[in-house]
Amino acid sequence: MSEEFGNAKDASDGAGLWARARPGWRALASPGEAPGVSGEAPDPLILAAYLDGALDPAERERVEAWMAAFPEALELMAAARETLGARETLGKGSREPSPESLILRAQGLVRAPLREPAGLLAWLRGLAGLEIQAWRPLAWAGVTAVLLVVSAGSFELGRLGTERLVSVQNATLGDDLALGLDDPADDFL
Amino acid sequence: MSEQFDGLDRLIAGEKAAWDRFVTRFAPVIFAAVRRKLGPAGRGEDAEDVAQDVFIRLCARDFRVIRNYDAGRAKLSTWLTVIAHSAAIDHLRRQKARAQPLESVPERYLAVDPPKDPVKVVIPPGLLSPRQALVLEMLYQREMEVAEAAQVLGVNPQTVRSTHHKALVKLRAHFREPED
Repeated sequence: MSEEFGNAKDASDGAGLWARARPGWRALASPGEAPGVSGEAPDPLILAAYLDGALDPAERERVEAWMAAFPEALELMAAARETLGARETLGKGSREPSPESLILRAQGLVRAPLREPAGLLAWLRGLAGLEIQAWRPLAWAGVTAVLLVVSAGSFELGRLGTERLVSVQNATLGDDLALGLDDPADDFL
Repeated sequence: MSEQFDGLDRLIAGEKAAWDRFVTRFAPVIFAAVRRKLGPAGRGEDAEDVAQDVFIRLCARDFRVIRNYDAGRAKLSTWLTVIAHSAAIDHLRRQKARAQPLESVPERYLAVDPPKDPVKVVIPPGLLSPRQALVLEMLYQREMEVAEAAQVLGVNPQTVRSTHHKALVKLRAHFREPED
């Protein structure tokens, strides 16, 4: 132990000193009592910057105070540091593989927007789409016009039929034979 | 291989191809971090699901988490490693919250702080710097080796020994114990 710490006295009484001091220090480091120490974890970006050695001294102290005060915080940072160290050992040119299923599932979280196929077909479809958009009011007008024509035609046919009926009704028996009961549709020829 | 990723702007804009490249590039980083945490706890089979949860979090609400990333502050791979580890720890915590035999829980998860005695032990603010307290915590509470503590802090082992020594000098003076 003294070789570990380079000092025999430190090795012999260090554990005891910290055991005595720790309760008082933890009471001091409780959330809300010590400035800069809260129960809430610092932003992951701050923690990452700490691991990259990119924090200024004040920010670094705040992260270390949080790590010292909360065992879960120290656990997180120790684990992350170990992972980063292992990656360094593996080398930047290689990576531990991940399951193909994970890659497919994760990629599937973001979907591509619907796209028209490229080429002439797409152009024609686009044109039709644009034209339909423009023609919609005209299309309704056309449908209305057709309905009107059909209605008018039906009315006229009905009218002629009624006239013939009246004529027939007004005619005597002899007139029936004279009329010949020709087809009213001939009037339209 | 570059640690950064060209195309975050296009990814945030919703470009599918950029997202797919991001996943291909960083799935190994996230999966390795998650598995490294879950494996020793006997939950290695959950690694893929937890890694998927990380990706869900990254793209949720129009990539809100990724929008908060600042390439000027930290490497993207380091940032993702922190997020992945945090997710893995949260997963283990949720698993522990369910019924689990006490004897299967590692001892350090059961660590309980000794009762406070503010009358007997008072540590004045500023007596120990955060780093000094952290070193003492790592060496004595977590029983880490000096080299291990040095790795967490990102410093060399001699710095840890020096910090440790200075902290103990202060504590001895506070408790009025003699220095040899």
